[in-house]
Amino acid sequence: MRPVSWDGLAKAFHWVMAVLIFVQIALGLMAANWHLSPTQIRLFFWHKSIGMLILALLALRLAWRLAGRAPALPADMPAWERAAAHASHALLYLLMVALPVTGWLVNSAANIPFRVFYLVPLPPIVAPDKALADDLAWVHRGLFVLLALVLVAHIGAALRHHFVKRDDVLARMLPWRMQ
Amino acid sequence: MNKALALVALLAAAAAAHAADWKSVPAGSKLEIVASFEKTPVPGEFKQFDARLKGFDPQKGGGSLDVVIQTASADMGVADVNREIRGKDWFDMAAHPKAEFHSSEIRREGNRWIARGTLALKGAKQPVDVPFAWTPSGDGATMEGEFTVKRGAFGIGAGEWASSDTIGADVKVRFKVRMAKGG
Repeated sequence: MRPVSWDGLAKAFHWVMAVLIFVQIALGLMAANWHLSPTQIRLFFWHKSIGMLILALLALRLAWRLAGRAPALPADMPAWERAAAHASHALLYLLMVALPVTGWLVNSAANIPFRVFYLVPLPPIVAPDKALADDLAWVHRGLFVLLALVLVAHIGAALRHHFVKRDDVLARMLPWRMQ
Repeated sequence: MNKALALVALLAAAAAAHAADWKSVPAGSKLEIVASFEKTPVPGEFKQFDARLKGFDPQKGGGSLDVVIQTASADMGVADVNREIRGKDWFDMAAHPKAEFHSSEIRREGNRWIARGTLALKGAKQPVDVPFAWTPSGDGATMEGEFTVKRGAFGIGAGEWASSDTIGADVKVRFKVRMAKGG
């Protein structure tokens, strides 16, 4: 029997991650457009630290998700909507891995020493290579655009479930229950 | 009397025999700088420099140490950083292509030497003590040591970079230089 709602841990993962991702997007956009200065370095520092936090949290979240305690989709959902829901969720998980990892790759190829939240030295995962760093930065930006599109679809679909289809797909993920 | 004079002359000759001129050999020599960035060490180096010891006696000291560094040979390992540090806020390499150290004395301290002198960098002059160990090897020797300078004292990192929050105030200078006899 699948549960009817997400449990507290799943909700915590979802909303903490949601907040971190929006902070992360704001920091990333600000850092990328700031002139080279201590402020830009500080923005990148927090962007990179939060990126690694998201990656670490995601590992735990995926473990939870793969344990299979996700509630079932409404029984009357058409097949294409189910397919779209599964595809967009898979894509979101994929991007939540790919964005921090490409960021880590950019930082490694650019040869920038970095300590996550000033605490944990982040080892490089590729050898220093300026051209590679520039290419990877474009991949990172491309993945961000894709993430932005999937987030619009994700939020749009959640709102459609709640206000148009009037099912409990959005409500069961809210930290508080709604009627 | 004659005996005493002869002895003094002999000692002077012996001392002169030990004091010699030395010159750095680029192969196997390294002049590193370690800055800090968001509390994380950032290693770099000056790839071109020239160190000379004149009249240095590895037993008694004395003589002088003169070092000339080509600022444009700085390599901090990050392309964007290397471009940035050429500018006026950092080394202003176009206006100040060289940094120089000239000692006023070399004295012993324990089992190492201290070259006390002046570091001229980016138009600023500051007193600096350069400690070094002297290890003879083959027909030459190795000079090795490290010391710390405050980048602010030389205006390295001006304007908004002057704050030590993101880029630390202390820069460690670490060197291991192969010295060969000869002017």
